[in-house]
Amino acid sequence: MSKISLHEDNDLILLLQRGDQGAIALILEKYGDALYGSIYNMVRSEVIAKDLMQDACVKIWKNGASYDASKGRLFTWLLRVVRNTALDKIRTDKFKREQRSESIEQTVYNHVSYSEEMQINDVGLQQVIGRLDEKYRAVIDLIYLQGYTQKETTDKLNIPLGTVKSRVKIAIRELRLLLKDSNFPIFIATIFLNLIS
Amino acid sequence: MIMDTQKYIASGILENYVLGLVSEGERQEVMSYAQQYPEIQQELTAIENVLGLYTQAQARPMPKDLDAQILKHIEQLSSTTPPSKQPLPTASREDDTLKPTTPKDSKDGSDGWLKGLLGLLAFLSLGAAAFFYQQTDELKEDLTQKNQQLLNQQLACDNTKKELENQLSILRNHAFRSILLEGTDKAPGVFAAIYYNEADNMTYFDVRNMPKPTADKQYQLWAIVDGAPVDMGVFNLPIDSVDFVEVPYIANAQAFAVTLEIKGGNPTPNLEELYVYGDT
Repeated sequence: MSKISLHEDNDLILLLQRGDQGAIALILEKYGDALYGSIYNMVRSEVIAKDLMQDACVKIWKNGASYDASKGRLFTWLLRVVRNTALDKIRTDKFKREQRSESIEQTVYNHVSYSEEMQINDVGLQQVIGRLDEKYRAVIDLIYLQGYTQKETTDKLNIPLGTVKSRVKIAIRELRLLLKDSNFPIFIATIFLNLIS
Repeated sequence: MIMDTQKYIASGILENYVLGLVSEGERQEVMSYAQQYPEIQQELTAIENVLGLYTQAQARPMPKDLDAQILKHIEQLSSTTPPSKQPLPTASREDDTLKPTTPKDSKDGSDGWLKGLLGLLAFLSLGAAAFFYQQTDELKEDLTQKNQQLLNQQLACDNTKKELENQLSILRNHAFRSILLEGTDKAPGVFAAIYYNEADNMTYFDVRNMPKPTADKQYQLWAIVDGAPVDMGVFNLPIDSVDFVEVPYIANAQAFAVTLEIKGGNPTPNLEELYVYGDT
């Protein structure tokens, strides 16, 4: 994430909209780990995640002209393309649900297992997010990070859909408050502003 | 009806929309409201941003060489299929508009080299076609130009031929009298000629070797009838043809003369500037 200030998104967007391959190189450099992480969290397989990451990058490259900066941040758009690519994959019959059949405890709370590989900024951000109540984190992690359907989520957590929905609402509001109130070091704050703006 | 957007935002439907937990009807509703009300769009953006941050916190280093592999793959694709300008639908999670369209492309790396080669061949063929097309085009243009030049030369030759034939017909015609106008002291060695046809009332003038006058002057031709000069008009030099110049017929001319006058000519000749003169 320290790479974020290396390239302004504006230049990147211009390249992307022109269909320039250089845009993908910059995207991978700047957002690659975050995008890859979002795919990996859904498929839990490095082999499949690599394939999907490549598919998603081709889509990003081919459809870059359709990105509209007035409709939201570039990263949000990239994430949407990447997540949809992964969701399409895990919703296919061929994709074995068993491939990600680990227990919730393993899948939801093992992020720290690779935290030593991550840069300090992500760890700082994680600590803030870690302050979110576990029952709220669980819904966000299952639905957003791992791409669980409504039914899978209610089955997994053994709670009714209405409860899932209200927890989602609270989870996101809590997150917004935490991220707003947290005493990030200056560099985190800078990144945060960069992301939110 | 004015909508209470704050109440709508507070309901939590936007959070559930972003996470795909809404019905199709609700989804349409949110999309429509987001377009109508900027504060709802802002809220959606804020939710997406927070989830973006959340995702960023779960970043995972890409496997070694994955970026290089992806860039190589796109490099290969770019020679065959450039990015489309088709807009990608903005999709929420439950949207199925973003189906993977080319999953085979990436799964099958083994024929990547073949695609690359085919792409290269296609590229080279196109390049060659474009090159030869342009060459043909240039040759065609060149040929058209040359044809036009030839045609112009042909027309000029035809014209000259006609003029020469005309001159010949005048010279051979006994009805024309040839009157040589000789240079005066003012212009020794200069000659001009008049072909005078009293039977058909025609007169031609041949400038021969008269020198070109200055820009403010023009030669004026006179006929002398009963001792008085009669204006036959001014002419420019050089005459842009080899032809004799047809001039007005003046009956009973006893002599012809050319004087140098101011541009446009004079009613009476300036004898000081008499250049050539010849009696009939």
